[in-house]
Amino acid sequence: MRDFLLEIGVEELPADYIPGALASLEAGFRALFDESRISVESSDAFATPRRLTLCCRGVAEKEDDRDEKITGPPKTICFKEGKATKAFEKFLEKNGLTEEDIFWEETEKGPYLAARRFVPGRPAREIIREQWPRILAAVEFPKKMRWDESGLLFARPVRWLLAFWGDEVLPLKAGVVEAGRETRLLRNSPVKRILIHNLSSYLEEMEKGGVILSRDHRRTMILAGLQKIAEENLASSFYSEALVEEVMDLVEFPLVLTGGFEEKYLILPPEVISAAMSQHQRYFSFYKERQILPVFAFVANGTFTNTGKVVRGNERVLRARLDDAMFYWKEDISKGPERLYELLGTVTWMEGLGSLGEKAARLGHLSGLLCPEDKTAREGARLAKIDLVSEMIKDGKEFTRLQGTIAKHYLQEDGRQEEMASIAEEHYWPRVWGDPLPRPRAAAVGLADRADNIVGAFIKGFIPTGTKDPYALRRQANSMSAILLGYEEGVVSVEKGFGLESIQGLFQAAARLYPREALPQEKEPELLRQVNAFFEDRFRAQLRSLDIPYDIVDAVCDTPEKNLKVKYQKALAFKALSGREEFRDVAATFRRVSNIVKKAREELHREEFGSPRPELFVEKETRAMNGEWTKVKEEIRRAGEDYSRIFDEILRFKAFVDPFFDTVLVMDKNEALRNNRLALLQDISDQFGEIVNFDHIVVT
Amino acid sequence: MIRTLNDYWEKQGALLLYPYDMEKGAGTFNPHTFLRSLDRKPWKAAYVEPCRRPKDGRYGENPYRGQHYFQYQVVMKPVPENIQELYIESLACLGLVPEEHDIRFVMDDWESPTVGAWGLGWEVWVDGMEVTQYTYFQQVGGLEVDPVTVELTYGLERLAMYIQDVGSMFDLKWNDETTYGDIYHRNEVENSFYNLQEADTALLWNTFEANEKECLRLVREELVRPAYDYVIKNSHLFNLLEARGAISVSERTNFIGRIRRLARACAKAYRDSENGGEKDA
Repeated sequence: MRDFLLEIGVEELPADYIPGALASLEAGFRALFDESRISVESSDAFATPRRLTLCCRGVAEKEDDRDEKITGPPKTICFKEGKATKAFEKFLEKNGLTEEDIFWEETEKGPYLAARRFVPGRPAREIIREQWPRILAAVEFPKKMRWDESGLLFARPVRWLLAFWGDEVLPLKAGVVEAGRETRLLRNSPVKRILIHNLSSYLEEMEKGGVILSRDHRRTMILAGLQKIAEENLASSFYSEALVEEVMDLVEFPLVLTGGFEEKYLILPPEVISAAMSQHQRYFSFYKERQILPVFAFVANGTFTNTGKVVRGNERVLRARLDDAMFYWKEDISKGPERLYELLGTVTWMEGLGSLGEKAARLGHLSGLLCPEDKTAREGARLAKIDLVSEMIKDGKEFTRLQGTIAKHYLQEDGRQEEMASIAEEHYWPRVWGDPLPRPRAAAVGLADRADNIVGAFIKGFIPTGTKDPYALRRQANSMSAILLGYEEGVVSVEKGFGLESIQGLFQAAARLYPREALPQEKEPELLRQVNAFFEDRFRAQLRSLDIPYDIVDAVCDTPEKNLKVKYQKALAFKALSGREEFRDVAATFRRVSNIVKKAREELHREEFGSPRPELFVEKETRAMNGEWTKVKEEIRRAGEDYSRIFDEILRFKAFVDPFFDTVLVMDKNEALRNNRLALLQDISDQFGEIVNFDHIVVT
Repeated sequence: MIRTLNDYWEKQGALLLYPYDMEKGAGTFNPHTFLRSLDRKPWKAAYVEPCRRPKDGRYGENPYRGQHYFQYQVVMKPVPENIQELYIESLACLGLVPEEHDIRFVMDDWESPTVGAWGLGWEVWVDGMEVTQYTYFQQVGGLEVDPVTVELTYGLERLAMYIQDVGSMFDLKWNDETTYGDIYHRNEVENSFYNLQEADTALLWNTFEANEKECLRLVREELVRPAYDYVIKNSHLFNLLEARGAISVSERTNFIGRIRRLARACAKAYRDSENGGEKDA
């Protein structure tokens, strides 16, 4: 048994490439060992920006020996008239077999010559050599590059390679680089290159040289460093955990350092300060309660003779960024919300659909419809977009993500009430399906904003298809569904959902706010049809994502019901009911009812069969069904939204419908009889159709 | 500083060259980089390049940003095996030694849709400040490059501010008596007015159209270098028009496509002539 060490030394890999690359390298070797039945005692995979490393302990010298069956020609070819043929002898000779080794294997086509042969396992080092180029090529990266004449493709240039088989160097290559004994340490360490003898010496040297191979270890070091700084500054939290995951893959030895900034910058909103730190610079900010502190932490790579210059340099960079933010902040505050609102009029929103100012005006109107008599909502909606023309958002790359939050701060600075100001921030929530929901007023403005966006994009013909959705309309529609259903963090709470009777009504109102030049009256119905179909499609997809089977989704959605909350509740109820064993049978029966009516409508070219006249029913089955129907109808009406009770009624009623179908021919020659029966069936079908459309239920 | 870099890169075998005499957004546009990266012959060069980015004009009020600035450009083909070490050593020559400064290679893949070029690499940070764009070209003018050229673009103002420890580029000392601001501040102010407010868009637009025709005609005449000059001109005109707000978002893509078409035509013509008519795969 030997230890196997592989290290691919590279120029700095992008942080987010590292986990995937390491996993694919590890998987490549695992597959090699498994397929060749080479036993390995233990293995570890490590990565830093400059190396991908695989350490395997106790690797078997060779693959397992095995018996292999080989098959030759059929018996009829091997022996002719009882004599061995040339073919038979050739086969033995070629495989080094004697007649004692062979046996006859029975197959569908008769007996075939066969033999077992002992195959000694090949040396593991040779298999590794052979498979290496394939494994190297299969290391996964989002993007690969070329850099020298070898044409090797990798995320960044490979500069050294270690491949130790015990103490021996395996002659592997990566492009022009041949495996050697030398690896590299940090660029700022006193010794930059070092000789390795085997896996153990490698791990020792890495530790001594200050290269932290383990990602988990680096994460722990960073968290400990941040914790310490937090304690020193009496901070209660830092921003953000997500940044730790990125930063740990930017360094080989995380040295957590801290610096400060002048208190004059603290007049900036904490979100702005945090963004200036985290977005580009990957600095951590610290909070005491909700107050941001004038300190920051950053993670340097390695150790330094003294850290003074490093800290000062980073402080200077942060100061420059905060200066930028301060400049934007002061400019915007001096303009004030109303001036910014005016400026919205000078910027095009969507080509041909007017300015951002017009958009903001529409938003005000539409929100007013959703929150009648609510001045706060209407005013909040009107001013919700002012930051789009602010210096902070329009120019500062790292601040664009604060869209909405910035508007909130500007409104607060202007002395507007908190509830109104926060509409600007919250109306973008939930940013994606599942994110936290806004408060009701912001929810209304958010619905209005997205309805307007969807209608506008559809007017311009930007209709999402396949992977193309440049305005992220699907995401917006999903957010609308989340608001209407009260869905956040994995849970639907219908009582939290925004009360809206009809989403179609909202889209129609949104469409009517566009000038007629943009949307001529005659085009409106078709546009709304498209918009509604798009939304319906998204809504159904979201119901399915909540684990409701697609046939149930279609059955409850394909009803005249407009209220999405009701649709959801119905879907849940019918999902539960679909577990009952009678469910599919009930569906089949009532599907038959609606099919007959549909077919009759087509064949007889009639839209309608009027109301049933009880005196015209002759057969006892029909009379019984009709009599029962009157009761069932009343029961269903009374049951309201108790779908379980409704279903019980339907189930009970099925006992009257089945005999009817068994004995009565609906399409009687007598027109009056026939139409009267159809009238009854139509009434049943229509009533049920209001609740659920059984046509979609998968019956088998 | 420039002298230090020149001495250093000359020792590494680079030709010390001069800037190209036209307005351009980056040293990459200089034929020493753009055209030279397209052929198969070895090439090592270093030069200072004055650049113009009309949109970045801040009337001389922003301490870090200007519509005119200097780059120090190094290109090498084929890429030396120890290029990263060479680069770090160049920083050390400027006093930025890795034992005292946190030198980091932060992923930044570069792309210039206007000239159909892209490459992979980093922005290099010294103590958190971006000082160099470091790129391995993969495509130029829509053509795969082989061998690959590495491009190191130092931001001279940034580096100088760091080394001289000043907060504004206008406070940089050119020598003991004269500052960067003495020389360039008025230029920033006037050109910002021109770029952002005064430039005659109709004139720029007409020139753009005329240049485009001339470029394509010259390519047909197999006069690659003069043709390429028109690519540079139109790229700059585009930047000016954009700074003036004369190009809408939807027109922008179209404009970029038109310049790219010219860049590709030149790249292809250059490669055909340099590689003895050898066609690109």
